[in-house]
Amino acid sequence: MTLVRLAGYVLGVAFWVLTAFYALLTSQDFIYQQFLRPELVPPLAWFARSWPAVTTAIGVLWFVPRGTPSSRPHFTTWLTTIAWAVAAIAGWSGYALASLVPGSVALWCAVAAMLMLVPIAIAERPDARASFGETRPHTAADFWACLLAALVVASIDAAIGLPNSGLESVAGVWLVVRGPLLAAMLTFLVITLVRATGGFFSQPVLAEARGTVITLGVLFAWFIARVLLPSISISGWEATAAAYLAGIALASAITVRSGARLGHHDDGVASVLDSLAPRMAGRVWGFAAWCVVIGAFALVVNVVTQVADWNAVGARLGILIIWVLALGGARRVVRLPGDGEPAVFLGFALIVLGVHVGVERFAAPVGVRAETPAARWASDLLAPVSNDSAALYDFLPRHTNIPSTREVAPVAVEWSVLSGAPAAERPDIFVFVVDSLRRDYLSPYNPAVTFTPALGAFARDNLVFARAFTQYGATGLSVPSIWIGGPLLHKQYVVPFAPMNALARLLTHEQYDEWISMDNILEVILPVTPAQAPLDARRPVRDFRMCGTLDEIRGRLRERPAGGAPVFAYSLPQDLHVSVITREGARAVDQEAYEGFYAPVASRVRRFDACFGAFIDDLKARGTYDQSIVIVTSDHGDSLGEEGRMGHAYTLYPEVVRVPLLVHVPPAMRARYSWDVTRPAYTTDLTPTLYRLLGHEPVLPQPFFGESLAGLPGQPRSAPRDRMIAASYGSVYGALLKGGTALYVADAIQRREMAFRIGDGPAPGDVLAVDSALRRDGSEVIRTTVEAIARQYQFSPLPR
Amino acid sequence: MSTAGARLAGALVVLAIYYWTLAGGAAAPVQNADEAQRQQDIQTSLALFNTNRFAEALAPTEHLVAQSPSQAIYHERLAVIFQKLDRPADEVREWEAFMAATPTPIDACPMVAEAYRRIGREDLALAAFERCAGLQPANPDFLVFLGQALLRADRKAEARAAFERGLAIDASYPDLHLLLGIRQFDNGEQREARVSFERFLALAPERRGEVAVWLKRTERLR
Repeated sequence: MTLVRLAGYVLGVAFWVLTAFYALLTSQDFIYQQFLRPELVPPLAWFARSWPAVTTAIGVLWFVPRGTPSSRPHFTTWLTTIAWAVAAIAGWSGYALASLVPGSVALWCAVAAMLMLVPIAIAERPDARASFGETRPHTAADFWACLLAALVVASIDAAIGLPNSGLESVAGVWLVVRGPLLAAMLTFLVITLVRATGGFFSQPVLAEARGTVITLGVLFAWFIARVLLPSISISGWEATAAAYLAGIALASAITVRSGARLGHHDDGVASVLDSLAPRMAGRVWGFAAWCVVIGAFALVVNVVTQVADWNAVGARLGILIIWVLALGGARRVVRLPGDGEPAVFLGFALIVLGVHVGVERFAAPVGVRAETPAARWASDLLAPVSNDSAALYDFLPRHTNIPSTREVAPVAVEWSVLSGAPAAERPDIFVFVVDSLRRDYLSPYNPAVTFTPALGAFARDNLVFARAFTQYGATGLSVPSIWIGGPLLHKQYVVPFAPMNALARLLTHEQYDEWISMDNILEVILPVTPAQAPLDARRPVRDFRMCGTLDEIRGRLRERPAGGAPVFAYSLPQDLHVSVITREGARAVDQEAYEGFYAPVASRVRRFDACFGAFIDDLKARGTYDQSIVIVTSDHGDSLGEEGRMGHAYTLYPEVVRVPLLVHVPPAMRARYSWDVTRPAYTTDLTPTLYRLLGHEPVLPQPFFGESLAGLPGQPRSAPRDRMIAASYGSVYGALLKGGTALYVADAIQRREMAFRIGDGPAPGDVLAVDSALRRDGSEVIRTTVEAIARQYQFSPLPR
Repeated sequence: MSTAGARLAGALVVLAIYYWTLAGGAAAPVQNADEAQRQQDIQTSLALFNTNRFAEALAPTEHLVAQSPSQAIYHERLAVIFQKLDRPADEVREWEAFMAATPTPIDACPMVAEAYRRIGREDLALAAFERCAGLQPANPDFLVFLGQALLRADRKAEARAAFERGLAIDASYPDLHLLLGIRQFDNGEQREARVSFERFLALAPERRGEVAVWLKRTERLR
């Protein structure tokens, strides 16, 4: 029965934490629209769908060993049971997790789910209030336990980061060690504080225990408030308060079972920390085994987060868990009697700090970067925040991820007055926006690529824009911005979207047949017209594949009657999306070697390259190639291991913001315009380009919009403008300066800034030092553009 | 350090030093004084402008323009401030700077031309209206402004051509019918003028008062 009781407890806590997590994700429009609704993470979708059944099953498992008369249920057991039963009944009545929609209700549901941990924890308290032992000094044990935990964490971190950990140099060793060392000293100081404070209470052991639980809760709350919530654009005092409630509830739930040991223990701190490691960790061999378990866990976290993570939240959560587990084990195994000399330990803590400051000020490791997961996090935490950018960091989040509950009226985006009959020359238009395709994975951009012969051949005869950028990192805003031809309010989405959808209006006016893969974004932004014949109609978005879509287009072209309306085909193939690759096992789809490339991506690029080649051959055989516009680009790139980073959640690294842009224009049409493929090009330039090519002279609707890639012959083009770019899902903004050769990034989530040099070669970019001129120009472009967008939509952020 | 109080004090002091060093002033660079002033100006200028406190917004906005002469957005804001403060000469200067800096100079239309008029420079106002009409040739609003400016310059034939061009773009623009009708009437084309006035009335029946006198004058042609 004890095992069933334990299982019910563990599953109950995990269930409510997962419920809170799902509700938290649902509360945010962009996560709901881009990830939950399209069910990109099937286990999470299953959990939401099965929530009533899971609630009931785990509720019963939790209740049975506690609620029977023989178990003498505690009052809070009944309270928890009633709350749990209400949740289950609500779930079966249609108010289940899956029915939540973005907004504050979902957010409060998340808080409520976390608060369920409180009665669960209270119900777990031992009934007996035994007399507590007397406290004895433990300073020496605390100090050495913290140092031992730091040693374990640093060793695991270095082992995982090999061979790139930088341990071959003293500077590299310092970068790996300094984070755990500083964290160990902070932990020791806080424990000392908790013990000293406990001494003022009548029951010091109990006070120490409670203080330790609260301290753990604060640590969890800090993580929730500083790492988790900002990464999904939740901030403000309510978020901070909710984070503290959740953190303390979680700490209580995790450690409450250790309360049973208080009655025969003289150490409230250790009794709580003991609950974080198994009893065997109290012996040397057991501690060694525990370290192996922690190491294995770290390895799994590293492997998983290398493939799929969200702005390093998963990796950092892993580091936090490793720290807590290592501290629990270390505190069990270190059994030093006595107090030592507390002043010496406090002095040592100061020496560690002094060494850190000294190295940073006078011997900063030049050219050595943190290459291990924990060291990278420590570097981010310890990086000084530039006060010059502080105002920008406060400004940006107020204009980012504007919730759907905030009503904003649509505005008209008019590139040209569309009147009269359709154009005399209306080529078929094929637009392939390959989700997450990097430019340096295509041979036209990188001579080392040998696996894209078809795209290479296509590029030889056509326009290859060498310096092309996405307007938005990640799909959520990138795709709408393509259809508008410019940036938009950071909201998913201003509806109805039709007044802004300039490309859709052009297609309607020109009477195109629209063959479009209707993904979850286009379902919102694209007005339904009788001309639409969706591609990939029976496939969920996650199963959109370039080859399948191209086959469908080729089939339709074969059956198309001669002299019919021209075709506009558009698709957002998901072959390379991180969620697809993860779901497919993060493996290559063939047996070829892809040295220097990430094989799961490269092999899929090879696969669709072959299909693309067949499609182009088909157009040529049909004799329509030279009456067609074919565009291959992507909505953003992807990080594929650069300095340990993966994905594109909301970073604006060069490999994310640079995209391929290959364009075929009918020869006669191409000859009528001037083309400068070295000029910076943006995905938002496509719509004005199509306006011009179809005979509608585009007039810039706003100064920050795109521009036609097709120049008017004989008219010199103005110098390229500095342009703002942004992440779709968070307040990370960038500015492309100096003709697209420099990228300044202001990350208002982590409150840091970066800069990169954008070169002509295959490498996406190199790190640049942020000097005052770059900061000034970059932040000015960002701020003024964000302000101008707000003005366009008559949007004012709410006062804080 | 044997009592709880001494331990508490010791731990607190060291923690405070840690906090000050890692999160506070010691590790962070000192803010550049000019940059601090600029950030202050950016926020103050926008806040005062948005609350219509134009006189107070003037100084910080002028600082911004001086520091960032290539930023069109600050020239535009300053131009509007001068307009509200009735300083048309300064307004003209800022609109011209704005038009030079922005990729969408049309955003200064027709305010730049109106500002020239307020300083008594009809010739420059006409040139500005011509620029506006050239920037957006398909916008009938600017043809109305241009036509009226041409009339003031006594270039009646060109004014009439502007009105006719506007009507070719948008035949449902009532003012263009009225203005063209007056030109036709002055030119002795009373029957055509009558037709224009009636079109105006059909499109804007609530504005009968504006056309009543002209309808009366051409009544016998019904």
